[in-house]
Amino acid sequence: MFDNLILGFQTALTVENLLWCFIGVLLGTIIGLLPGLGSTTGVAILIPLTLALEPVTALIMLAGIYYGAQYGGTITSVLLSTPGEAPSVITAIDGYQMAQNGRAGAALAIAAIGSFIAAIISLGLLMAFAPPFAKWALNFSPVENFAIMIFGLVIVITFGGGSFSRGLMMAALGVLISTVGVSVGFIDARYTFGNVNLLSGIPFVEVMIGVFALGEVFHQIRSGAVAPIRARFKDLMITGNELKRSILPILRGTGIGFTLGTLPGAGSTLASFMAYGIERKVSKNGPKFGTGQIEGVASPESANNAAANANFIPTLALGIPGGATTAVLLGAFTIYGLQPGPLLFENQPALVWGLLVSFFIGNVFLLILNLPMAPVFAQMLRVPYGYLYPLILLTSIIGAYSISNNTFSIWLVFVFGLFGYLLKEYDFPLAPFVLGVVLGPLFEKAMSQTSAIGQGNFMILFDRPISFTIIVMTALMIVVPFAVRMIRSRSKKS
Amino acid sequence: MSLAVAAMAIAAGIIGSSYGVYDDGGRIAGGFLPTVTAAIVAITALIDARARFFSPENPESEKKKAAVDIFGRNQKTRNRQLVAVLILTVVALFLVNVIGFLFAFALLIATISYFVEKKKFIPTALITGATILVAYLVFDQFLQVPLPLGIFGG
Repeated sequence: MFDNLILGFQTALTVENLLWCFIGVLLGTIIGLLPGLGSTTGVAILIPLTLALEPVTALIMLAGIYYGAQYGGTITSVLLSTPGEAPSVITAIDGYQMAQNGRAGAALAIAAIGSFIAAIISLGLLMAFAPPFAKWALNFSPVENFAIMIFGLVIVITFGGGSFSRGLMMAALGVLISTVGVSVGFIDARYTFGNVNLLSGIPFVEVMIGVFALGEVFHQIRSGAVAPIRARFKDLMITGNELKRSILPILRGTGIGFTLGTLPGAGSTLASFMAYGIERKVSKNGPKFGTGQIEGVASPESANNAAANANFIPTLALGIPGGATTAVLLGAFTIYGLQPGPLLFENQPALVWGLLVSFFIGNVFLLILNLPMAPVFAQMLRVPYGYLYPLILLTSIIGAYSISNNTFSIWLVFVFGLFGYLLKEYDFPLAPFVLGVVLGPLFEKAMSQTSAIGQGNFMILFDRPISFTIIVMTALMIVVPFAVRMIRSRSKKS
Repeated sequence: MSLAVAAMAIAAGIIGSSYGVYDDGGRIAGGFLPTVTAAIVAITALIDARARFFSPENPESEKKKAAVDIFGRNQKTRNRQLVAVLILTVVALFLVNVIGFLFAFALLIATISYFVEKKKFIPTALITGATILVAYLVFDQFLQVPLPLGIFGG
């Protein structure tokens, strides 16, 4: 492991990689705090800019945008009560109350410190667990991979926000869209209607940019703007008592975040919500949660960042994304000709370890940037959205065009932008849809291979111990929430 | 929305099944996944439509709709702005092959800023000019993306 770490530091500490890592986290912070942008949108829009870079440099930058946006998203949660990112939703409850009580700076500071501690601890765990996990996953056949993909989809359907039926609808819709074109292993061109542009399928970048960037722009235009609370430098000072109160919540949040983040499809949102819920139960200030308690910021923010790092275990080791942004990152890997999965650790050690070490460096950059600069970043919230969204429109559409060099792409982006707007307007969960689109081709490949191995019989999933265990876990994931809800409603009635 | 999704899913399922669900050896064929996913989408969309039909309107969302934002715009104004932006974007996309990508989007940004967002002329011109210049330098010069030039392409 130490040889790999040294290799990672050698890769990440080149001037070029340090520079792009810094640019990534800086852009990520800005992207996370600007309305209408988030880490998923940011990564999707900026993929084209990285095409001129080496794959490792490009991925270091894109990953920097991912965890930088987590910090930025916290700023909007605390100052606007408008989370830039889904995992920051829960931070808005106590963070915004702290801001209204004149403690915006302390909330932002503890979010930065908590996120940093969580990121560093979870990175150590990631480096320790990801390689052996990848080695173990080498034994997986298409049957096990198929079971894991079902598991990942079910987790994101169950915990991706919204009802189970809506989550299932969105995931299935994502997979359905991914079937457009000629699939590997089949000869038919599906849903192309004679259009040659659709033969190779609907590229995920166009879908992501459309749904997240344009969809959010249209949604924001219709929603209108709210006034931010001002964060001042002098308020940034966190008191000794606040720091003392935050230590255990940070550690608890990190543990919860890392554990949940390792599950394929679980993502950071579930981690932050669960960390807040548990903290509320165990903290002595729990009953006062919702009135501006620092523990209510420290724990979910730590969980959020730990989960973001842990998300890379299923993404890198299994090739199954942990959440929406890692799903887009997974797509970016394929654009650079890389196939995430167990073999990535063996075939591309410099890339994998350089990327992992860059997380550490990026988090140091973020702490240095965010502790003194949070109020400065907060000023960006004052940029009128009227100036911002035409730029987002241009960046999104030109970004999509630059990947395919085809004007058909810009129409696809617009169509999916409208679709994304409708999804947001009618409150449909986006994460299952994204996972469906990205996993779709892999899912179909694993499914057809499983069908071939079982000679058309999917019961083969129950014949192998690993796939059987995963399918049982998947069934529990569906049944348990229903059972809990039924028990609760019965106890309410009685 | 859910009913429209259900209708499209039913159509997609019918088309999907025409690609063949199973092959001669009993293994899945190209139409299996489209048919199954379309069926799932259709069923869940119908369940969702039924649930929406019987659920009462949330009073909070009604209040939110009536709210005026920090620029003093009510929901009606914001709806009008959205329709204008959608139409202008479609026009810009059509113009890409006529007057070129950068000119089409310069026109889009300027029109949105000046007419839709009611920004003053100088800031509009500065923002438009700076944005298009940066886009040109990054995408055309740095990334060498062959942006459509339209009638200016020679």
